[in-house]
Amino acid sequence: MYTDSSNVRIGCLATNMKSIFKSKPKTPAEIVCRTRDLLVFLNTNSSSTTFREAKREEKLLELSQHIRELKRILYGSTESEPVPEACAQLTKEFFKKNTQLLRLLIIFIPKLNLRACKDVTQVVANLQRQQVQSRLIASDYLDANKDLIDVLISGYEEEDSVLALAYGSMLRECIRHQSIARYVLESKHHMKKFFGFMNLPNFEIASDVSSTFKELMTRHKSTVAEFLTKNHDWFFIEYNSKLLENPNYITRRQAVTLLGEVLCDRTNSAVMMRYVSSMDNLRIIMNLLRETSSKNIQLEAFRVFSLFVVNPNMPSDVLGILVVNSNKLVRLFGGFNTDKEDKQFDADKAHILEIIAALEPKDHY
Amino acid sequence: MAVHEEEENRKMRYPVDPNSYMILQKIGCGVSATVYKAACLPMNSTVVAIKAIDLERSRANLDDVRKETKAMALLSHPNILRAHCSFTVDHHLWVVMPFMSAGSLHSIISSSFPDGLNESSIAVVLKETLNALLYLHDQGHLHRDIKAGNILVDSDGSVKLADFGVSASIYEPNPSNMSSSMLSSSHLWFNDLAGTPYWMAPEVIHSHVGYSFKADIWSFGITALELAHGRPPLSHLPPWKSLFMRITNRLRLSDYDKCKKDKNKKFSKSFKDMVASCLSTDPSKRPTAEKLLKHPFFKNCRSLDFVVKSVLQGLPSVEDRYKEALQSCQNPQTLVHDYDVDDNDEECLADPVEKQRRISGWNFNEEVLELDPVYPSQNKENDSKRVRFDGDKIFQDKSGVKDERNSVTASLCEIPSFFLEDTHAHNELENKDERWGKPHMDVGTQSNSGEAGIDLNTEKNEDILANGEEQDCELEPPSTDDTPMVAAAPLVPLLRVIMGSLDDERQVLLNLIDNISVGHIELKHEDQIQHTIAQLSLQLEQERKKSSDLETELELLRQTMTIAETDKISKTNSSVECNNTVGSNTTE
Repeated sequence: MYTDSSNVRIGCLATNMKSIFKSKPKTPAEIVCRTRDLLVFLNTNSSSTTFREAKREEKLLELSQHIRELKRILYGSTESEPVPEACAQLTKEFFKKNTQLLRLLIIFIPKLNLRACKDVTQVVANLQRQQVQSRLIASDYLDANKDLIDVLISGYEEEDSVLALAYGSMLRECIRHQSIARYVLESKHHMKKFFGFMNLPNFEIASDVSSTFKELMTRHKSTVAEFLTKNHDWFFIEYNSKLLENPNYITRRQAVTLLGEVLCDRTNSAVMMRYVSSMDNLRIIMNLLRETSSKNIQLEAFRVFSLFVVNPNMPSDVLGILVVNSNKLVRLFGGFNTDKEDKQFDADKAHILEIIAALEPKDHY
Repeated sequence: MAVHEEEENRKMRYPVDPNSYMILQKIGCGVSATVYKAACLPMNSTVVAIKAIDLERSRANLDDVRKETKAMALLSHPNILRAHCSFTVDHHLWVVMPFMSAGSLHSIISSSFPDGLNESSIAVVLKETLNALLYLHDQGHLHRDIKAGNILVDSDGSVKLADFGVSASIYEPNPSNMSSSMLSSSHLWFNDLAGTPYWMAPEVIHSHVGYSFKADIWSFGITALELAHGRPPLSHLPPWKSLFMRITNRLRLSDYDKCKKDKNKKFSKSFKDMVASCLSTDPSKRPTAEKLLKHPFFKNCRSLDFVVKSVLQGLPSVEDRYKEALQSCQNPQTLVHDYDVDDNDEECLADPVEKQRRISGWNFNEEVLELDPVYPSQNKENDSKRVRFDGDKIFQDKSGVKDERNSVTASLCEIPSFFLEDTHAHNELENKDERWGKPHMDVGTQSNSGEAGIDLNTEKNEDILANGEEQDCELEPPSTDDTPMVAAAPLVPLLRVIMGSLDDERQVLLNLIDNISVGHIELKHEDQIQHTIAQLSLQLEQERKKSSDLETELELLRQTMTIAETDKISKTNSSVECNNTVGSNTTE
């Protein structure tokens, strides 16, 4: 998997680490090359007993300086704008077939200090958006190296929140590419992992997972619609049981908000119609409506609930539940208010109340 | 150096379940968050601070809360308060942090140093804060809320910067924050209004022009003043009002008295110079954190032990301070900064808007270590005309203030117009400046004549320039005073803030109505209603008192004006500057 160490250029190795910043500045390609060499070197020598610790420390320092330099080229500094040509050169070199720098960096992250770790995250994030000859070559690289996405996803299993967050933000950048998002969505294994990660007790990590998941479910609309159509049953069973019925308040709140967003998206209208035809789904949403201790959850649940009510092809079991509960629902919605004045919400509420009130006579036969 | 502590922190894992912690005491409280002192049982009962944020009541959306905890998890520096961990407990988010036993500098000052700290201690704590700021800026982070209330001190004198509730990162793509491409660091401009009013830099308030790292340096300068005087400038006003004061201003008697008292306090040249550099109206003239650390004021800084001896000794504990504050003050909002709970934006917006005079920035008055307002009209020759023409209008304006109190909305409608009316208050202001012991220059006259001020400090010339420049970026035509729509542009974010508060009040009323209507149906709630009524009448009483206080203050102010007016006439003859001003007035 790794490029073997014979590829290491002797000339590169001999460079004095101090000279890089003092003598004439290296080209972006040279910095990429040196970074790679350092990573290969540190990776292969990690277990060597003969290798002196001090020497290793020195190399580590040089590595973090190089990463910082990469970041400076990509983001510019307070004095200078990033130079497009330099960025393109860097990106091209970074994703060269036999450079494998992204792989080396991702694997080496746990051994970096916090600062370098953050620098790597930012460099990787930036590279996902760099175009070379109007192509996102990062996407091409990831397509050929999808196993790296697996590594990033399991990064959420790290107990060290610094690491988990670093992997998480890189992952979020990678799923900006449609093909990568599709790869993750189409893997049931990965999706099930997400449901589990969202329940991690550590708030920083769990909420980072949630935002990645949201990105996954909302960014590439056609891909998402296709995924949901194909995987409707198992996905929503998992979604309901693992998220909407979760004992954890924050999980429920985030899940019901996202659900509303996904179902209300026009590309997902077929998915929505199917969702609101299920009595089980209605039961779960109505339970969320009853959560008087959380106005936020109630309001988001109301948004989803409205979709059941306005369904023109309402199945009889759904209708039956609505009719039986109509009095309770009318009473409940009477006390519903948003924090801020929201005419749209008030209008929606009035509309829904009207429909519910009208349901009753129609269906008692 | 920092690496070791960092690695240690990464190894030590605090449990993420509430049963592992034993709450010892409440040490701070805001509208949507409470801070407790607690013991972490599995870790030998290590004492920690737990900030419990009510996610249902918190105005901030979940994304903001997430951003804060993420920032706190990813920043690591000895001078930055880093969260041990965070987890949710029902609808509260618990953020477990190191317990800083001496509390915030704000709380230390208000409990034991009402007139400010001594200069050597200020140097030590500011230097520590500056280290934190240097690190933050280097990491691409803006803190955006630097103030004594967010600087925490431990029993060993160590200092940590806290509260990243409104911090922002230039590397975190957030389209609403960024006015230009996020892929480049040299264009790090933010446009949103964030922070606490008293400490906000002018360019943050005028947020349509964008701001960056230098906004933190301004707040740092204000914090220095806060530590030196025991309070930030304009702090006698409610926060939102101080925002107006930064663009519109009228100074009060209480300020002058305070100022005179402070004159007994001698500040070193280097301290004044340091603060002055931070408070330059032109952000580009403010030093970077790195440069500021090299300032002579921070050379030969004392050790942390000095702070322990001169500040911390005999200080009541954070817990006692909190209790004391609870007893001495009915209004829980003043407790907000006791630890580091922040709900500034939720603070009192019930006061009516008062007509204020517009200023374009602040001149830092080095002599008395205070801020003096700069008035845009001073640059305009034709303005002196108006001063005379409308001189008698001032008092009319003021009698109007009373009526405005009746309704906040009514006074809100007035906002655009006070640009028109209040620029006429030119004359009174000069009198005030004399009372400050600093003769006021008519800037326009000075730049025309090319003569430097006679006893103005060296900073002044720069500030005049800065002032001129800032006007440029405000995009205001010279005839600003006649075009209130243009002048109102910078006010839009402020108006939004006020709108938000009105929304809140509306919500409170709605809730009340709800309660009452529910009560009609179910008489069980009668007790609740009675309770609410009792609370309401209490509030009403407080409002009445506030209003009468304001009226007395107004009366006092009017008296001062009259005195000032006579004062001015007598001084006009003796003062060169005033002669100049009068000269330019009469020639028009």
